Amino acid sequence: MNEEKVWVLQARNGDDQAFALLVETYQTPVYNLCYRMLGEAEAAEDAAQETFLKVYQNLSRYDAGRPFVTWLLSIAAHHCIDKLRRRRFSTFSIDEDEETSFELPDRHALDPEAETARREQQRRLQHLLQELEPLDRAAIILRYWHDASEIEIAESLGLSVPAVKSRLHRARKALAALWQEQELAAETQAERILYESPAI
Amino acid sequence: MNHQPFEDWLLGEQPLTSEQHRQLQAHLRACPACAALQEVTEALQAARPAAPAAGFGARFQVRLAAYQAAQRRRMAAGVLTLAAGVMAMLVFLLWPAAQAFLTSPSLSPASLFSNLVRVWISFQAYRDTLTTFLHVLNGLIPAHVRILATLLTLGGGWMWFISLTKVSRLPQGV
Repeated sequence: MNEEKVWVLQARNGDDQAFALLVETYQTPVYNLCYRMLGEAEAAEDAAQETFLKVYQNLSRYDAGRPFVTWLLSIAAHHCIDKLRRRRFSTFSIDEDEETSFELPDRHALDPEAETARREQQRRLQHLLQELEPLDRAAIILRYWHDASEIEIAESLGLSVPAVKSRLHRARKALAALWQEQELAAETQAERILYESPAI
Repeated sequence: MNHQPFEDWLLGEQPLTSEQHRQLQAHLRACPACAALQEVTEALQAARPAAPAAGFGARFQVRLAAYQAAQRRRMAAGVLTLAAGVMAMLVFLLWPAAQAFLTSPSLSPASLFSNLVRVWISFQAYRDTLTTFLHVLNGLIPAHVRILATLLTLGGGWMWFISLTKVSRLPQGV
């Protein structure tokens, strides 16, 4: 039995220290999922904490035959989807607290220029993610940030495997379309500045 | 512009042969839509996780402690309410005997016995009334209506149980 299963078993028997170890181990994946889903550091922190609290309350329902991390991420994803549905009609800015979230640095990055470009690319991607429908967004995050297989995504989100495939394709095409739109807008703006043509 | 099979190659993320790779690169130079798809795919593949601010575990422990304290308070309130209910019920049931005991302590065992007999007789009377009522009702309502009503009640109960299970069920990942 691996360490994680032992902690889960101990936590089920009321060992809070064992649960604290689970929180320490999985805080980054859960927080990352919440941050990518909600787009705000503060909301992500809150959602990640609520996810762990839900897990604590429902540990007895966990099927020990399945990986703990996928169960945990499944709860986090559903929690965020519920939150997004609740605030569908309210507006918020993801630019306000971009600086408060800390992206794990690449230890192998030697070229500062390339690293800056990569960060800019990631910032754009994070911004575009917020344009996707919540389930598509969750599928993309689980696939690319958490290396989940299509089967794992399907079970986590309660979808069929073909539905996951179709959602991943659709979401990537939508992201590409938005990406292209942004580039066109940036080019137009650059041309306008170059020729000093007045904006209409 | 014809995006096939280039879009499929990009969406499939399968390894390409050198010839396919060359064709794809040529297409990407001419097709901004596929170039954007390629850029997005690269950005997604280079994605790295965001980490919470330091002290996440400690902040969670504070929240957990608050939750556990609230749980203990709710439990204590529940036990107190139950105890108060039981006490009220006992007072209600024993009130006649207590009254008799207070007015004439020497007769209290006899009074207690007579009260118990009274409670038993009342219970039998309620039971007989209910049985008679159901007999009358059976005569008034046709059998098929009774069966339908029973089935509807059972169906409603089943739906209520299923909806409760669905609402309280958490997803089980793989």
